[in-house]
Amino acid sequence: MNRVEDPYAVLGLTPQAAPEEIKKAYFSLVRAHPPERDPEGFKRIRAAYDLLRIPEQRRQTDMLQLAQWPEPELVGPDELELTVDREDVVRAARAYSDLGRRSWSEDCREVAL
Amino acid sequence: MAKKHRRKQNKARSQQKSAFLPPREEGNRAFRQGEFGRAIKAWGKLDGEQDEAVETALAEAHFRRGLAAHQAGTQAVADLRRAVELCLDEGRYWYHLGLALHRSDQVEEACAAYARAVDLGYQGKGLGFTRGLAEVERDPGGDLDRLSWLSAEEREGLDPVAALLRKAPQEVLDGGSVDGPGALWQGLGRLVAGEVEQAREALAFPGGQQLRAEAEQVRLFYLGLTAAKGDRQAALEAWTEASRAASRAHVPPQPRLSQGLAQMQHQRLYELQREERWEAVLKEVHAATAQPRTADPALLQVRLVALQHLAMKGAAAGEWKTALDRWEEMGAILRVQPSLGDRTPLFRNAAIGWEALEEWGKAGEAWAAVLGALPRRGGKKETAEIPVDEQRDWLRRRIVENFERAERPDRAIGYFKQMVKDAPDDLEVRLELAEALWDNDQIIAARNEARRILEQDGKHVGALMLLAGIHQERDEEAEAEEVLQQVLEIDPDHEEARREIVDSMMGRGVNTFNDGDHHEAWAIYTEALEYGPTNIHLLALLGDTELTLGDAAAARERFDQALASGQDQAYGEVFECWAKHGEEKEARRLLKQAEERGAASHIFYLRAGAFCLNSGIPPSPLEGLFGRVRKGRREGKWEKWGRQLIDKGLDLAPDRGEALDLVLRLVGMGHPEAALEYARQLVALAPDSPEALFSLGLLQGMTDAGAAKETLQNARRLARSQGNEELIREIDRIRRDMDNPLFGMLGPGLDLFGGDFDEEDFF
Repeated sequence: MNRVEDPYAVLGLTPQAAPEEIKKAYFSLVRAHPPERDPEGFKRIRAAYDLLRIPEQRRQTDMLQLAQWPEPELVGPDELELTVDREDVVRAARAYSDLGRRSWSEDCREVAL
Repeated sequence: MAKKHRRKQNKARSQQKSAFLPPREEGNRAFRQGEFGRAIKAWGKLDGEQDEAVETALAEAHFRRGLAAHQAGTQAVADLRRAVELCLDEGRYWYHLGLALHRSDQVEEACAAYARAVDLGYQGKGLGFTRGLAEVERDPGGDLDRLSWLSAEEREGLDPVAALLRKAPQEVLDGGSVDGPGALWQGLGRLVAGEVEQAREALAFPGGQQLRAEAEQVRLFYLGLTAAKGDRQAALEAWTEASRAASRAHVPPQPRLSQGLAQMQHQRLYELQREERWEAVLKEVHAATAQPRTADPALLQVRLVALQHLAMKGAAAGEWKTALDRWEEMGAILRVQPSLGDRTPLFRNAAIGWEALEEWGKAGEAWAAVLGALPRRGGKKETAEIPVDEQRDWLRRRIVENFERAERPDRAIGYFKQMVKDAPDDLEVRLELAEALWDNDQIIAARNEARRILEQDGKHVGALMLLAGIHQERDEEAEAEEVLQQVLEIDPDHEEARREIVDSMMGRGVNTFNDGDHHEAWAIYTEALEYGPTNIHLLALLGDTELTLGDAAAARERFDQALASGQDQAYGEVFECWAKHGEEKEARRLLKQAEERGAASHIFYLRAGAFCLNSGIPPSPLEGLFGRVRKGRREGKWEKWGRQLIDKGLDLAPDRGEALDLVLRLVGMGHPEAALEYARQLVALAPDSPEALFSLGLLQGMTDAGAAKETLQNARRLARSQGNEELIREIDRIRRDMDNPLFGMLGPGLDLFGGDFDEEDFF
């Protein structure tokens, strides 16, 4: 188990796990990863267990655990709606009407009193 | 700058001059200068004269101001309404009022205004189409045939618009021009019909040359939309161009364009995050989050997540400098955007990183920051797995250790002293200093600091507890108990003080008992009862002392009180008392009681059995020196019963291996003969366990060094295959010790049960 690997994660536990749960998880994992079949897996499990089995060691481990940034759940974007908006049709059509015209000099009159 | 200033001066001068002109003249001048608001103001002063010429002039001024403000809908409508009110028969005014209303989406009123303009003889090239468009917008389902005034060309232009607004794409696709706006309508029609690919093809024409800017913007948006799913790059290009088209047309981009661009970025970031391409994520959001103070918090959050992943990756690879740089960057963001998260985890990570780099001083500072961020004593409710007080103690020690390694042992104390200096009246900070001094073995200074706190607040529980701890460490039990009593007078519910005082008195009582003063021990335990009336250990000790003093009735009463606590452990404690005094009948009665109440767990049987087994061997005058192995001795009734209880416990245990391991720990020291049998059972159960073989080897070493060495050799081989270096070292040490001829006499349990084999102690 490397320095930053979370021993709780290796044993499939949360940091709130009770000592009995830690022991139970360890024995269960060791049965699934016996050293003769999966020596590397066994080493990882054993190392994680060693960090948690004694209360003082566990406290030390907890305090020296790198803190994970609380990640918000990854949410994908909404699907783009493949529809035509009324406003867009109107907007485009108005560009061809007098609404799109800027100059109105022929409608202007000079006045003076 | 100078030019602008001059222009301002000229304007001011002109206004100053005109202030002396009569309203009529002033209005004329303002109108000529295009300052219609000023003209309206000036001519408005003449309004009372009921002069038609004035009204006409005012109407024209409002008209012109309304025309100029055509983008500012409300102002334009108000001015044009006023113009119409002043000159009801002026078609121009009605038409432009119609346009202003139309732009403001007041289509019903716009239609009425256009109709009135036509009635008054207003003519204009675009009037027919514009008026027709208003009618279509008002009622897309209406029959255009009823609009008899529409020309064929205007009708042709409006038909696809009406069809699109009616969501009737087939009518668009069936006819009409496929150039310019016609091509746009065809493309939109395909999309309404759900033919996305065809829509994309239809919209892919050089609209910049054929369409007006606003229509071109619409085309580009839909071209991007139809491309977005399969060809994100094309979509992005189209939308970027659409944004430019909106800018050229001096109109805001469609809301859906901004949403689409944001969604596109979201999609890209989402995919990069899913693929854990954190460098790419960082690159993607870097520009948009360069100024954290004003950046989008959602993008900043993405940046923080990416930085954290990269930091953790660096840490996992041992690249701590990289990790520290990333955490520093995160800290900089959180400093200006604290609502995005707490910086404390970063301080912790930084401390771990600096320790890895052996930058002890920096690590110490970082741990100090973690300590500073902990909740205050008695503050907010704890949520952490480790109680805050324990964290505080751990951190304080760590800070001291780090500064010591940095060869700055004074820095930790200095750090806390600085905190005291900054907040001299904060007794909690002063307490931190006192505890740091204690951690740094400056016990006298710590005691003085605690006393200083008590000078300010004689009832400061934290300082009193510290003082009690210092007394305990100095074996000043009576003083410690006196201080703890003070704490309990201040806070009768202080559990820790209550526990400490009971523990201290029990310790004193045990020492007194072992010194042979049983009456004094009884008096101490009785006094302790005041602080821990339900403490089962205390009740058991008291009962045990009373049995020793020959008062079985009193002892029975104590034991009943202990059992009444409802704690299963009490049965074990009381069982051992009866067993210790050889009261088999009472012990059996107690066992039956435990079984009836469901308090007899497998642990209970194992412990009770081990106690019987150990207590069945008469004490040797050389106990502790030669061990307790005497071959050929016949087992007594306690040992037999002990074995039965252990067997029952093993049968009940959910994990026989663990249970056997516990038995070895319980009897290995006291009864190695029995332990050897259980060790054999454990090896039979777990032949691949180097720990089990190690235990067996140790016990074999008592009588058969050859067999022991062979077993330990096997244990070593297994430990090596499992990478258990610690056990290998232990096996090697024991194998060396076995060569000492006194090993067999000393007993094998020394290491198993935490004892140290040291030849110097023996000799």
